[in-house]
Amino acid sequence: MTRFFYPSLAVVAVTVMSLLPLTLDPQGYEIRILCIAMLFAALGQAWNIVGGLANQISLGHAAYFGIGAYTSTILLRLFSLSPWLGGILGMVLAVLFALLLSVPTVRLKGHYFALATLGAGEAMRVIANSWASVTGGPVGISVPYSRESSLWMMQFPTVLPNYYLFLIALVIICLVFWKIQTGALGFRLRAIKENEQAAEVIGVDTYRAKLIASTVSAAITAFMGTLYAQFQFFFDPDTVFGVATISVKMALIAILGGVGTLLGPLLGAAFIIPMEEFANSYFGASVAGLSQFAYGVILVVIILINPRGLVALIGQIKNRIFSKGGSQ
Amino acid sequence: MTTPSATGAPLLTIENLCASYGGAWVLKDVSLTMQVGEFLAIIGANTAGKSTLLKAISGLMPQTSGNISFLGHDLLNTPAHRVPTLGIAHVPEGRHVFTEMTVEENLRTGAFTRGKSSGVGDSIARIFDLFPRLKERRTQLAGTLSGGEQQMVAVGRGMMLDPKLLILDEPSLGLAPIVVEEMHDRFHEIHNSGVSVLLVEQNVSLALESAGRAYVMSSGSIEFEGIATELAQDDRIRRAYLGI
Repeated sequence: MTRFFYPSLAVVAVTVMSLLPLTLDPQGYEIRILCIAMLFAALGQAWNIVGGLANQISLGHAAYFGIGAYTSTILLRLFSLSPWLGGILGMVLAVLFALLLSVPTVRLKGHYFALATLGAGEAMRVIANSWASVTGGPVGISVPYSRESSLWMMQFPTVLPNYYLFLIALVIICLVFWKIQTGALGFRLRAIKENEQAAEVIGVDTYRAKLIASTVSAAITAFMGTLYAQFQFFFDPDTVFGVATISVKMALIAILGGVGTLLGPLLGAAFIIPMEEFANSYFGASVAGLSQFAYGVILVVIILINPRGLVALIGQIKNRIFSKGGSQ
Repeated sequence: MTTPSATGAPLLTIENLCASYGGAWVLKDVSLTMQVGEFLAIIGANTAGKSTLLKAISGLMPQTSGNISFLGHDLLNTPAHRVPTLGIAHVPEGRHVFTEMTVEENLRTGAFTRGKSSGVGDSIARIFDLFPRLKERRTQLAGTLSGGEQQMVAVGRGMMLDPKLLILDEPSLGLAPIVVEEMHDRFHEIHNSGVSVLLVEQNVSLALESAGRAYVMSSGSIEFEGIATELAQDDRIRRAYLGI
């Protein structure tokens, strides 16, 4: 049963997600929330390749995201280059940055790796803020808006096409994650995750395996940056290179959902993004800061109930229901 | 017990090996030779440098000088993950099985260096013949096994390489005496099947029973070497390690 259960579940989910926006106002609030949720599900999944499969807890993925957003936007402004091409160039730059970053960090473990990547992401934010002649600096940068609708220029009169771009990207990224997870690389990464030295002595090139994982993750994250830029039309260094807004959030979504699982980032994003919006709109107006506090409390509670995240929590609940049903 | 299959052809040659952790020298001018088909033991107290020596062979010690050659390959300049492809299986101290993987998955990881998956099933079947217990537990997570069973997984994982040389680092550490005996019987079986065995063991009497020849290490250097049965009678050994 399970052999057909998960593929059919995926088909149903994609179908529902494809039809859902047709019932919504194409310029409305709800569809934007769904877009943001899919963006972060995709980012969480990209992070999951490094953080979940290779167990490299990166807190600097905003560096790749920002590189993608700035590369395509700057090229679009200067040369009217299609964001598709700009996005691909952003992916290339992100891969180069990942390779550069791997030289000092790939041998680091645990907190040391997290801190080094955190520093790298912050460095990019500072550079983007100071290098105003290229990035526009702290004022931010806007994507030049044209009235005509064009897939090639990734510009549309409503959010609906953006929605489908996010959906397609999310599906592709999930497939990439699944291919890696179930393939030979995933098996190697599992061995590294459990015991790096043991993996070495049975012949795993741990450096290479981690490098492949981090470059794939970087490239995906960068392209999501481009999609984000073409969706928001305006951003500044603190948003796209932000620790809390991007780096930690990507990690949080994957960890809260269930780190290293295909379903984890999807559940994490489906939970966190709407909850954040809810907390902002209900508490944001009355008491400043309360929304962040409420948000924090809920996260703490979930992690306390089950540190392995929502995926494990659902499994726990399912077991409880089934074992109850069996005893009656 | 002797080593009937030792051929006299050199398998592993170590010359003037020095190694350090930071500034502290843990191996001082170690030289050692091992022949194809030998069952060689390295004995000595804690901190004698036995495990470091094995790590140097497997490429896990970055700061080394000297020479290690294995069937003509220069091991000191071979990265750790390439060493298994030469036919060296290292079963590390403390077993280091992948606790979140099943027994069978653990064994499969041992076949990483083969590239294609052909013959992996046969190798697993052979490991199950050697350790029937593992066959019973094939779908169990390795972390839920007893210490002895985990040691079997670790040895089995090494044997999946189809190695020329099996390196065993303290395989009896923390195991029940009866399990230790059984493990050593299996090591003999492996050795008789044509695999050279390099054993590091704190249990000196057992090591000298199993091996054909042994080196005695102390404070990072080789003190002396000899035929195992003769060393077992040697007064220096008896006083220092056997407490007789």
